[in-house]
Amino acid sequence: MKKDKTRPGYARILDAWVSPENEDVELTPVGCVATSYTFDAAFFEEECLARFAGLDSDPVEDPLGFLIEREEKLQQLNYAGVLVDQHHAKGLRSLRWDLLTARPKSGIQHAKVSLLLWSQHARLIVASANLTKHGYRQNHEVFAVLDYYPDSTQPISVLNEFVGFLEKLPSQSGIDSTSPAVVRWIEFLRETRQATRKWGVKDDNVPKEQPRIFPLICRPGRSDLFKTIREHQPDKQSFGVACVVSPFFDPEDTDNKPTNALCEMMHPRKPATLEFHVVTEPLADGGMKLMCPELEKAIPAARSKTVVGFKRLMLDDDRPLHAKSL
Amino acid sequence: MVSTLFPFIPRLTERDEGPSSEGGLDPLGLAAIADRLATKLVPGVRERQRHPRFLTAIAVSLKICESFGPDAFCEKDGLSEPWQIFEWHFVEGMGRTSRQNTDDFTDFEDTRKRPTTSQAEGTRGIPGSLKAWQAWNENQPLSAKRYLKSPSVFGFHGVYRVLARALEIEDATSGRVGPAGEELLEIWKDEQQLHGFGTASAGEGTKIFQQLRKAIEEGLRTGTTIRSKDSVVWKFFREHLDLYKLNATSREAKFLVSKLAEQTDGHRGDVLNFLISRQGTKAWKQHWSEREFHDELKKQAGSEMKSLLETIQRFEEFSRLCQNAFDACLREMGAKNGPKATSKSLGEQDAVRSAFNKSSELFQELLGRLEPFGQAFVFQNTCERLGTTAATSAEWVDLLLKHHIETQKRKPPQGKNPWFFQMTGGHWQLRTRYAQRDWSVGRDSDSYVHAYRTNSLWNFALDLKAVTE
Repeated sequence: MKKDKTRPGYARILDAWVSPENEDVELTPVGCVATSYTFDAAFFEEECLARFAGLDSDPVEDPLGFLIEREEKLQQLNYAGVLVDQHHAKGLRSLRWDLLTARPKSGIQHAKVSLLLWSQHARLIVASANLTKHGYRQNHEVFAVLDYYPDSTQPISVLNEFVGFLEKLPSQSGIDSTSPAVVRWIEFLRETRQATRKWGVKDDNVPKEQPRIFPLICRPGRSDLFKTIREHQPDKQSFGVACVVSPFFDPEDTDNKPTNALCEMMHPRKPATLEFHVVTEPLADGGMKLMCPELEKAIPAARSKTVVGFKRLMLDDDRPLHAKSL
Repeated sequence: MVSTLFPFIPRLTERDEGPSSEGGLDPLGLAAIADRLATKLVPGVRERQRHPRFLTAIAVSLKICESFGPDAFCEKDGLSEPWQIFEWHFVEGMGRTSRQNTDDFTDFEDTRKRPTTSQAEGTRGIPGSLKAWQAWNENQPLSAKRYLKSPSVFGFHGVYRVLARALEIEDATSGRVGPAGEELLEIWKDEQQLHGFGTASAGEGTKIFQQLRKAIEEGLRTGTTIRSKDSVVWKFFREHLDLYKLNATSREAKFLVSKLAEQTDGHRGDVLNFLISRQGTKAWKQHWSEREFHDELKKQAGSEMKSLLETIQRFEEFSRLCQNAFDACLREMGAKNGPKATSKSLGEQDAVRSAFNKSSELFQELLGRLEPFGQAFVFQNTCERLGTTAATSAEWVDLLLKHHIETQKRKPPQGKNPWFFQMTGGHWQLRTRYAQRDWSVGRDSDSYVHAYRTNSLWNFALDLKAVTE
């Protein structure tokens, strides 16, 4: 058996598509929905759905057995669907699962949320990774998993908010709400709401030692990320330190709105640090090149007490950074 | 009780290597025999070769690198030999001297940057040039990490070395400049006004030789190309080894044509001489079809070459029959999109019927034809199913599809998945990833399935101004 080389703080996203272990009941897969910006249909079907449906046969050692089992088990699902941005929803259509094409009037469909439902368990996966081989297997990405079941201590409000987001997503993405695929998508989410209504806990009952969790959902016409953070911030105090991880930044010569907005949340009169954790490249003279623009130039003059710091991310050489976190 | 691998704290993703189980090329396993026949016809030339001036570049590289000794390598990456460091400089130099506007890029989310068309024009035909663009864009020197993953195969030394050896530009035994290489270098130095290059005598070439040598020496120490933006090294490649700047009166071009046209083993000289003749050029340019070009070439050929050409033509006839039948099956499986493509329905396809009617007889004929070229045994062993006499086209299609499954199993290192499966009810099901391809491309064509180097030789002749477009 292959030795598990997973490091502390790391995990494989594909493992999150495998059924959790429950000593009391046998979990059977019911259905799933997922959203992505870029998309690889074969990867989704052969890797994600195969794991979710609980296939035992190995696609390499027994390819025929794998195919037969996959057909049988996918047929048993109530629903499987994926909603993908229009620029990447090309190619394969399947009889076994729906592919919905998002055509939003403005912006792009960039959310990467997967909701998996088993008979006694629901799992929410929120990730920076697209549903592609690169996203799931190669890039440096970040993801979080929330598990809901009868004794779970996760706040049910988070699941409900994500289910609400997913319910509205087709219509907000310009998809005809009467199309059979959308009707099936909505019906599955209704089923999920029904199944999970007594799972998890209300916000007030979340154990005090457990970090608080809030969904921060952005879309055109809605509060931006920073305002949403402020709305959920219990004491409304300004921050002394903010840490940013991102592979992409606005170009230097443009108005860097995210950095400006972040500065607005920093303490205005006391020293504060805005810390960017970035990728570096070694230079021939032994120095390092930061793979980001000169972000200190984006600090407004009124925030003279805010200093910008940089930290070097130590990553595997052949794995590009695609994770984003704040 | 539920146990989960995922406590709610966000995780970073771990590397997750998937199995490599796909073999997406050569589904019927006929390419290896075609390649051997092509090598017998045109020794030394490979389908990926396009620009003969790389032969001069290799001679220059050998001359500089032989001064480092046979065991020199970069201690920093523990890998790169002097020729490799020369190649980095060549590729980067061509990239640097073709760049016009640093802002003129398309920016993708994954930070990959690509050159615009006008910029790419300056590096057209240079293996690894996209890597040079990426390194330049990130203001980094080329290095083993930033260059091609298998440079000894896909870099220009890798692609052209076999031809350099066949023409004795490189001495295959010592790895040093061969007799033809020395002759080529003398002509090149004379025409390029680089007297003294690689010799003890003083001249214009002495200085640049030393600078190139120093750049490689530095590369062996640092594991990268040199950092100086203004070094004359960068201009050297564009000014003296530009792939497209040989003119018809150049002695270097004439020498390369004469070496390529030399008759040694195989028929490279005959094929090239015919291609650049009025009749051959007309035959090639009329349809850009190797089948029709070979028809004309056969009329001029001696008995040995004629026999080889006839074998190639019959082998391609057999390959085309099988390939068209295979493509028709994939189209039918894709069109059915469910459990309906049976051997019977596949056997009713026109292309399958045609292959069923002709393949068995052709197979037997090919066994005899391939014998003198040492390929009969391989053909018998790898393609027996395709030549088996079947009672019906449905039976034959079963043999064809099983031949594909066996071919995939034989692919290294541990076999590859077939493109489809036979289900319990007997029907055939195309796998998801292959359902996305368009199997109508080249539908029922009678062209060759494989390539026999005419394209490479034509490009050689164009570069060397032996023909016009």
